[in-house]
Amino acid sequence: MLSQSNTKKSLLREVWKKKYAYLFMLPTIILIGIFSYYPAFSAFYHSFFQWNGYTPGVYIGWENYKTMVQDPVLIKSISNMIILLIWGVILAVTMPLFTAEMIFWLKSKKTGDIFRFLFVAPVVIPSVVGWLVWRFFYDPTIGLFNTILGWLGLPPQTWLGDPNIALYCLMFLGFPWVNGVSMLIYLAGLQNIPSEIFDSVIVDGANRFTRFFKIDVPLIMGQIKLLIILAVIGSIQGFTLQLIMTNGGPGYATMVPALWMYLNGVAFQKMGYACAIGVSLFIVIFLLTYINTRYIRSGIEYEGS
Amino acid sequence: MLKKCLVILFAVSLVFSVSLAYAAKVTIRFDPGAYRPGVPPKNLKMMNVIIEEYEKLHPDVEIKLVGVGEYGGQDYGTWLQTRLLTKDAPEIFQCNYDAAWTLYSRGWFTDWIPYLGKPNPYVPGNKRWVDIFYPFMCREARAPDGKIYTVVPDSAGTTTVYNKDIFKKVGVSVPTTWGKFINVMGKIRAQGIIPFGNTTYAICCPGIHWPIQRIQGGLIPKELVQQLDIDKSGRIDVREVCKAVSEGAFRADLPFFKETWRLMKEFSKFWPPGFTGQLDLRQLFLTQKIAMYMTHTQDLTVIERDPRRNFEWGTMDFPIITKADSPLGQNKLVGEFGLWGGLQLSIPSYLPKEAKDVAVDFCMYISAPKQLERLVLEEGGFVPNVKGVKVPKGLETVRNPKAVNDPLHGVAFFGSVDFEDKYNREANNFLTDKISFDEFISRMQKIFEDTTKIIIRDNPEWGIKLQ
Repeated sequence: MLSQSNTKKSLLREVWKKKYAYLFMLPTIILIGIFSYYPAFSAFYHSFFQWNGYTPGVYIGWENYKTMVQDPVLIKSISNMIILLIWGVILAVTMPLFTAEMIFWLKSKKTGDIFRFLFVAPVVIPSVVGWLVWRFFYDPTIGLFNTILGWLGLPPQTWLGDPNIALYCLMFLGFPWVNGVSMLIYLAGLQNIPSEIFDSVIVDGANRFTRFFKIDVPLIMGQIKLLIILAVIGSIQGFTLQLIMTNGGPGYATMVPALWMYLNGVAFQKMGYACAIGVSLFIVIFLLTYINTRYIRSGIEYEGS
Repeated sequence: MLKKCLVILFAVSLVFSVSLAYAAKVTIRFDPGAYRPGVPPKNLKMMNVIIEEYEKLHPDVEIKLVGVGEYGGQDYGTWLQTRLLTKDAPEIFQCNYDAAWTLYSRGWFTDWIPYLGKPNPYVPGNKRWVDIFYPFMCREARAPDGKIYTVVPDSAGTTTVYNKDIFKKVGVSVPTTWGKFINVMGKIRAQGIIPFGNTTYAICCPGIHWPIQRIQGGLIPKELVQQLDIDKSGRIDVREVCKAVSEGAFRADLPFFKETWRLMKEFSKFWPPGFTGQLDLRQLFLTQKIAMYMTHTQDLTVIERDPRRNFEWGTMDFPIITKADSPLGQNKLVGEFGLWGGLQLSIPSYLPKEAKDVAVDFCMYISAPKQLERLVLEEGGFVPNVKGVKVPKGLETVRNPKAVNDPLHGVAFFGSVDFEDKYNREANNFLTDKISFDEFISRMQKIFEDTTKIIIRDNPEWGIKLQ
C-alpha cells in the first residue's frame, strides 16, 4: 500500500518536473481526444440506440447487433470482404516485394533509381483519378477492354455491370498492383541488410531462390508484417473504391461491410445500426492485428550490428 | 485644438454610423438550386442580376448565395439536414417538395400557407400571393399533414428524346403504343444501334425510376388508385401507401406490380450492355450510340446547344400500353410533369421573425412574373408555375393536359432513400437474372413491409398499425 502511494507520488513529481513538456503536449492530447477518441466512444455508445443521427436516440440494447446477424446484405458483404482481404494480403506480399527485389538486385544503381522513381511517381496522383480511368476501361460500349476483346474476335462483356464478375473486375483494377509505397518499404528493408550476409550467401553457393526465401524474406519479416496489417486494415475499412466504381452493385455484388455501414449511416439515416457495424469492424480489425503481431512471428529479425 | 477635436469626433461618428449601417443589414443566405450562376455548361447569370435589383430596392438586405455539392444528391441531403439540425441552414434553402414530407415531422420547416394568403407586393394588384400560381402548385405541394412546406415557382418534366436521323435510316416512325415501341426497338437493334439508353446504376435520374413511372402508371387500375388515394389528391402519398401495406391492400404480388416488372424486363433487353453500371446517356446519345433515352426537361437545352450533335433530334411521348399489349393496359398516356423544379423554396422554422419576413419577401420577389420569366427563359429547362409567365422554347408541350402522372410516382411512393436503394438493388438482381421473378416479388413484399414498419414507427401520429 505504502509502496503504491510512493509510486503515485513519484509519478506526479515526474509529471510536475516536466510540466512544460506536458503543457505543450496538452493541445495535441485534447485534439486527439476530441477528434479521435470521442467519436469512437460515441459510436460504441450509439450502437445501442435507434438513432437517425439528428434527433435524440432511443435505447434499444443489443437490437442493432441482433439485426446485424440477420442482415443478409451484411452477410453477403462479409463474404465479399473476405475475398478482397485475402486478395489484398496476397498482393501486399507479392508484387511490391518482387518489384523491390528486382530493383534491389539491378547492377546499375542509376537504373535502379530510375525504376524506383517510375514506380513511386504514380503515388502523387489521387487514387480516384486512376479508378475513374479504369471505369472508362471497363465501359461496355466504348471501353478499352471490350475493344481489345473485339480485336481478338471475342464477345464483349458487361464488366462492372455483371453481378457475376463485378467483384473480380474490382480485384483486377490497378494491375499490375505494384503499390509504390509498399515497394519502397520492402526496398528499404532490403537495403538495411548488411552486404556481408549477401557475400556469405554467394560464398555458400546459394541460388537466387534460396537467397530470397532463406535470407531476404526472413530479414524483412518486419516490413512484411507491417504491410500485412495495413492490407488487412485497408481491406476491412476501405469502401471508397466500391462507392466510386459500383456503389456496391449491381445488386449487392460488390457490397462490403464498410460501405454498408456508410450507406446506413449517411444515406438511410440508420446511424445507430451503422455504429454497431463500425464497432464490429473495429473488433475484427483489432483481433486480426493482434493475431498478426502475436502469432505470425518473424523467424529471424535482423537487429543491426 | 478645437478643430482637431471636431475632426476626430466627425471621423469617429462616421466610423460608427458606417458600422451601425452595416450591422443593421439583414443577411439572407439563399441556395438558388438549379439557377445557381456560373455553373457549366449553362453558366447562368440572371440570378445575380435579380439579387442586385432586390438589394437596390432593399439596401438593408444582403442576399448571399450558398450551397454545396450537387443539388438533390446524397451530399446535399446530408449537408442540409446537418445545417437544419444545428440551426445553421440557409434562410432560404432548396428541398424537393416531396422529400420535405419525410422531414417535416422534425419541425424544421415553415408552413407557407399563412404567407400564401398575404399579398405579393411585387405583383401589381395582387391580394393573395397564392393567386399568381396555377392551382396545381398548392394542390401537389400539400404535405400529408395538409401544410405546404415548399413553394415551387417552376416545374419540371421528363420526356423521351430520339435521334430522327436513326429513325429515318431504319425506316421507322415514332411509336405510339407499347407493341409498336418494342417492334421499333427491335428494328433499330438489327442495325447494330442500341435502341434505348437507360441505366439502373442509380434510382434517379436517370435510373429505374423514370421507366417504372411510365409503365406502372400505364398499368395501375383506376379502381385501385381510388381505393388507395384517400385524400383524392391524385397521388398515393407515403401515409396512404403505409396504410395500404399495413392492411394488405398494397402488395408486391398485385397483378399490376408483377406486370410492370414483366414489361420492365422486356424493355431492359433493348438497353445498353452493362446498364447496371454507370453510363453517360447524354454522351451516348450525342455520339449516336443510342437512338433514344429518357431525360429531364433541363437536359433539352444542353442537347440542343452541344457542338458534338450532328443529327436532328426530337421528343416523343412514352408509348401507351393498350389492352392488346397487356391485359392490364389502361390505354392512357403517362407523362411525368410536376413540382420538381429548379426552385423548391423552403424556410427554416426556427428563424427569428425579422429574418423570416425578409426571406419570405425575397421569395415573393423572385416568384413575381417579371423576375421568374427572366430566370426560366435563361435556364430553359423549367416550366413556370406562375400565370402569365412565358414558357421556354421547346417546352410548350411538356405540360401535356392529356398525359397523367403515375399516382405511385415510380419508386418514390415511400419517400424513403433506404427503400429506394433496396428496390433498385433487387431490381438489378432480377434484371440481370441473378434472382428469379418469384424471388424478386417475394423480396419486394418483405421490403414493403419492413419499410412500412419503420415509417409508421417514426410517425406514430398517423395511427397506423401493421396488421
